[in-house]
Amino acid sequence: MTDVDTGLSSTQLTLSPEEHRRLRRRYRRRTTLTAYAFLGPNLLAFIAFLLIPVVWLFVSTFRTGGVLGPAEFVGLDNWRDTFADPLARTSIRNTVVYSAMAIPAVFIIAMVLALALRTISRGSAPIRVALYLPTLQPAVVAAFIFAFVLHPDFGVINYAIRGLGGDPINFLGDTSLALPTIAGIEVWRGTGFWTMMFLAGLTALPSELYHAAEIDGAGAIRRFLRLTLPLLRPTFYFAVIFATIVNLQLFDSVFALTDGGPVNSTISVSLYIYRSLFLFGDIGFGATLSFLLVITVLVLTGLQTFLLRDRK
Amino acid sequence: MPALSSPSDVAVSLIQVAKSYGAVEVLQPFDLQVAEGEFVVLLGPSGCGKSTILKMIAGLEEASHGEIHVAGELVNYVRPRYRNVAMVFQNYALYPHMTVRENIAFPLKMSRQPRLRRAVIEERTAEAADIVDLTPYLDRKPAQLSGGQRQRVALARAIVRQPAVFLMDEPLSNLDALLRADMRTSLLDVHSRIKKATLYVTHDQIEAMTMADRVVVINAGRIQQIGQPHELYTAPANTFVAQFIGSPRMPLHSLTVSDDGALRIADATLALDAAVVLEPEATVTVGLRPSALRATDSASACFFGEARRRDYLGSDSYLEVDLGGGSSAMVRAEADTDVRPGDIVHVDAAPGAIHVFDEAGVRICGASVGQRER
Repeated sequence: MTDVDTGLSSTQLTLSPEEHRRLRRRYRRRTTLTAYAFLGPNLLAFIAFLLIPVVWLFVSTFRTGGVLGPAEFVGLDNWRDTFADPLARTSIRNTVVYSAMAIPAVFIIAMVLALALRTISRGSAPIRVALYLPTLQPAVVAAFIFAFVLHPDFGVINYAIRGLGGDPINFLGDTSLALPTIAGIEVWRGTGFWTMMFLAGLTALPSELYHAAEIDGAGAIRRFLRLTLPLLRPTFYFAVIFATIVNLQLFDSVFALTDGGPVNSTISVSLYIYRSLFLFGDIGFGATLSFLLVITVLVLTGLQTFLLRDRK
Repeated sequence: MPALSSPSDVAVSLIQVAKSYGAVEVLQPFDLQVAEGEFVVLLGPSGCGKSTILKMIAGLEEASHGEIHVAGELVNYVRPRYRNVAMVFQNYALYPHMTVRENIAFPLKMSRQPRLRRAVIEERTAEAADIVDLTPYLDRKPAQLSGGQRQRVALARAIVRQPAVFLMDEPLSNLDALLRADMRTSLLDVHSRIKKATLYVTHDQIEAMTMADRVVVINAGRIQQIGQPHELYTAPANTFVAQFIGSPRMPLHSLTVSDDGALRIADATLALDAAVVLEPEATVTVGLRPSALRATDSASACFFGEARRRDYLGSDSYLEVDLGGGSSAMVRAEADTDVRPGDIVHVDAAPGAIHVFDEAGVRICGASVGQRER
């Protein structure tokens, strides 16, 4: 081998290996501490306003009273009462049935709208605004609007039905129609939000992929099924989990429109918790139901994470 | 260049094709014919409209005017999937959630013609993978491949369809220089094996010169010249082509024709190659091709001047020589030349070194040094 001057002459290190190790450790420790310093305030808020209350909630499920009189340990009584209470079961069933109606409906409608909006090159802004407006309504305002739309005597829809010669429908007064009606109103409110969410996901997909697929011979439906759906997995992952969490907490539109009626056909878990805690003062019972809701959300989220994971 | 003897030899024919977005004309009307098996490179700076031409042929953009024929069929109103073209994109456009095998097979699975049997799909996928040396990687996802491998997947996906025409939109520009040179060779290998008409877009003149049967030079939406690589180099149609092709860039000088109709650069009188009479007092542009100018010791050389700068390139050196009268030239010299800035250099001009353009930049003819006044 000949000696070639590579222009890289070797010089002595200025510090010993021991010193390098020491300084590296110090450097890393400082970096880590800086990160914790920034995370600290958030962590404190998390502990104070989430972790402690949840733990307290869990403890409360084994006690009764505690607002006016002293709390009393009652063991598993609250849990037994909750599982034995037919109204608790009804509220859980209503919440699940409502979610099973509202979530798929709003996703399908929003996806169709997002796909349509993406293909519109001009004039989509006013449509987007119009779609998003319902999302901006507080549930109470939406309830007020729909009270007029759906009213059996002077609601717009029933006016139209009568005009066509039909019998008026009592949307919110019929036990089999009230829950689907509330789901429909929530879908109306949520469509704008989810359309924008899906549109954002669609816009982020590289257009070259679609050009390639178009040349490769994939028609619109197959492009959607074989490209769009798999590529939107991250968006769906967020959407499914977020929608589940939000919908299981259904409260305000029920409270404003039917207050759980008729005959408890629309009572939701959150509404029942509210009544137990604030109307009946039954802290232990309300805490148990709340805790059940927290557990349900956690389990469902875990399950969805597992099912929607990216299989490599 | 393959001769265009009969219409059936023509794979792609563009007739008076133009493109505009509203009032903005991005491509002026032009004609272009690509023969079966021909490799045509569309060359030009960014934004000149070269990719737009490919997209119009593929059907991803609509031509504002003119006719596009692929394999003898008018395709202006045919959807991309039915145009019998395959396209390779700069960013590969691989489906990230599919394996290499699924990516390559995708066009076959999407094919509407008498549904292909699975065995046929597998066979053709394997064949295409073999052509681009990807067989060991068939079960990987694109994210697990290097840039060069990804581009080969894109190429295999184009090959597998057995299209009439290949469209390649800067397929190598995302690769590093070494890999690009390798891929250039593999692309040419593949081309010589499948012998299909190919339109290849690039802004890299080296790619164009080394790969093309013919080059289409485009600037600002206008075709500047169509020709074989050596034609562009030895007889550039205008100053744009003269400067765009060749490295270092050809310096241009604005000269005024003297009263006697002669054209002088420094103290040398130029003899035009063609029987052209220049108007006295007319302004012309003269370009000196750096690679055809050589530094020499001979005092009988064509020009002389003072060296101002020296660029070392490894195989050669280039000297910037001040010829006087505001003219300068880049002159090729030995790599280890001992000329230093400030030295006087004699310059020999080989045939093809001097190009004369009219005031609008259109080439009039070549020239050589006739006589030198001492």
